[in-house]
Amino acid sequence: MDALKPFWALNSALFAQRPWTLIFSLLMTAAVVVVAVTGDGALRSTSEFLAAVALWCWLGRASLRLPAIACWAGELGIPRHHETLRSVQIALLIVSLSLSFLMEMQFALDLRAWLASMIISAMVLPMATSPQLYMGMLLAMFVARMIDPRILSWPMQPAVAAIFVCLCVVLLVQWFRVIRQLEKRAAVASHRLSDAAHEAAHPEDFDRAQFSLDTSFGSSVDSEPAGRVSPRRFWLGMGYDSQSSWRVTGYSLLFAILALAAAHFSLSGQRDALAYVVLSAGVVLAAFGRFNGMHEAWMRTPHEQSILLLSPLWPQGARLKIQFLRALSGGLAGYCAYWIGLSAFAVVLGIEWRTILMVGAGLLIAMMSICLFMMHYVSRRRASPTSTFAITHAILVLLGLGSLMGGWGNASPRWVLIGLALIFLPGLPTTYLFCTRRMQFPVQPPPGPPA
Amino acid sequence: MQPASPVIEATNIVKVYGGRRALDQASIAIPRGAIVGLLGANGCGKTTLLRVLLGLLPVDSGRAHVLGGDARDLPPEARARIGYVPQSSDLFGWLTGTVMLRYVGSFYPLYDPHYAQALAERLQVSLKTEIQSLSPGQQQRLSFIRAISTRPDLLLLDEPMAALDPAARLAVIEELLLVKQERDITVIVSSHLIHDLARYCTHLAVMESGRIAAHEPMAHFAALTRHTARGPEEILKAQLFAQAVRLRKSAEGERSMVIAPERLQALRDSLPAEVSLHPLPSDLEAVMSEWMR
Repeated sequence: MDALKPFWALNSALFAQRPWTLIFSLLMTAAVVVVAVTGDGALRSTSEFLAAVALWCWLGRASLRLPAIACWAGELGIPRHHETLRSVQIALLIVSLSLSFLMEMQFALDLRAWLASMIISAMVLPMATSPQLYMGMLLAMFVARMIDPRILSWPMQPAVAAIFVCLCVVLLVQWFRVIRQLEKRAAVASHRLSDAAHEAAHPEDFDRAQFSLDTSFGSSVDSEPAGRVSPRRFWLGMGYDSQSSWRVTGYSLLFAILALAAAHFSLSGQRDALAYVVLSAGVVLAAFGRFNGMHEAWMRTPHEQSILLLSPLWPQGARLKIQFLRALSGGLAGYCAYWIGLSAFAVVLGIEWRTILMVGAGLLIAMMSICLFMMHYVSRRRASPTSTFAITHAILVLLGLGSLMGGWGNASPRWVLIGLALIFLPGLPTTYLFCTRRMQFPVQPPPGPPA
Repeated sequence: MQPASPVIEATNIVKVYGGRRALDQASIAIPRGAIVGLLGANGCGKTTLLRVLLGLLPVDSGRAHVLGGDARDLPPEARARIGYVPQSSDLFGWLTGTVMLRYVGSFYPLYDPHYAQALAERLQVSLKTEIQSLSPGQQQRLSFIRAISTRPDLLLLDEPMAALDPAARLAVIEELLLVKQERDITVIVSSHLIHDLARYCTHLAVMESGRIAAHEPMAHFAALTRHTARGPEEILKAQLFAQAVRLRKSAEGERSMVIAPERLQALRDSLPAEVSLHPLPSDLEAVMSEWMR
């Protein structure tokens, strides 16, 4: 499937039905450009903030529209809209929290203010349920920052912080309940699609394939010899198209180069290096989205996997694991191309080699950890949407990355060693289980009433 | 003549799901060439048994042999001889019928695309439409086509006709019997459609609470009758239990039962005058419904 199509479909659905969002975003973008080009000093430093407000506005609108888009996607028969939308939801969450983090870097607040602001940032979540609260919060933050950035430290008062934390938990739950709404709406849409009336119609009259985003599946089946299990054919049986799109990689690289150039020529100090780090981190976001799509596809296709496993030419035992690993690492080439292209441009702009190597090491570790998460899920005896072990692993890897980077930056071998231990040790049990246990294929759904 | 060696042999299978025994010492042996109907109430373990026999579910204890090999490690030659239609019919919903058949068929050396095409025409299934857009009935027919177009010797069907109208059910049954005529295939079909099973099954296996409660030729079940016995409680308790295949207290001083014809006469002879026996409608569906209540 061409990954650009759902992206454009999503955008057109967002903006075609909400022109004010587009107009507001365009005005804010224009303001950013004007301020960045003509402003000076303090005024110029607000350009990132204006850009963030525009982006936040888009994100908020996107989140609000998610359930409606789910319904729309289900009615059009777009396959795997659950996975696409879940990925979009997680991406929105990560991007909105990252935005707030970047703003803290820009305004260089102290630790207390940074923590306070992170708590406030979690309030970005109400954009799923309350646009008024979201816009009000944005406005309040904007005004507060203009007056005095340190004014935001008031949520660090214990009582206020407790209220904020509770509120954030409630809103977080709300946010993740959106997926349930999506599933209900999609189920209703699916039911409507498969009612008895279709039986009466001539089958050829009801050819919805024209709406399909997955027409390339057929060509994949035809293009390879019978019985060959390539990475793409492996995931094809579970409804996930794992093929990297070089066109998407090309567009992403072009966008990243333009953004890096803009950052280099409009920002001061080391901000272009920061922009390079953020743009490189996009690879992790993409890899996580890919992992999420694979995990979802694997979770919801136990019957398809049963049929494949019973096929005589489908790999079994150790061969199945090898195929799985090949399929898992299938998208790495595109990510590498993106990062190498971006890094080459960064070198041209004069960003330090040390920074580039650190980012490369971080990306490598993140990729490895994402692969380990998937290996962990398929090595368990029973499927589960989440895993305490995987979450703990993720936290340890993040801590390890922090320690590694800090140790590297300060030339402290001790912290580098601690970082490496935190990164690699949690992967050992997963690797052991993956090598020794029978892979969970077909997926064994969570316990429920047996049929 | 030597009896045919069993194609499937499961012994004392136990499968526990979240603390509940989905299969509880289930044992069954299915001879080559048999068409076995698997009957049982919802949740009694039919699907679990089929998945264990296919090696798709690990068991907690017991062993299952299919086509002479351990079900958990079937060699490719054995897997090539098995066709499976799972309960869920909207499989590979993101593909069109044609692509799905080509995709799955490419993993089977004996897959016959022309046969699949002919089957689709006979069963009136559109292969150009995305599977998720087909009606449940068409999806089930397509699932059946996928399973038999690989020319299996053993076919396991998990409620393959639940969504089919009578005409479509008849068409599928006729196709099944046609295949059976051509090759001596063995079939296990889980279904609640007792009347249909009576038309094409050679044997019936009845499951209860994770066990195979009975596994006999169809003629055995067809001969069973239903009766109501009325009389004093103590006599009913003492006399009926040993004779009836199935016994249920339907009211105070009244029992509904399923009984074999050879036992019926013996029961009549042994009952005192104050107990009366009343025959009930005893077609297979009525008898098996009484059995499973």
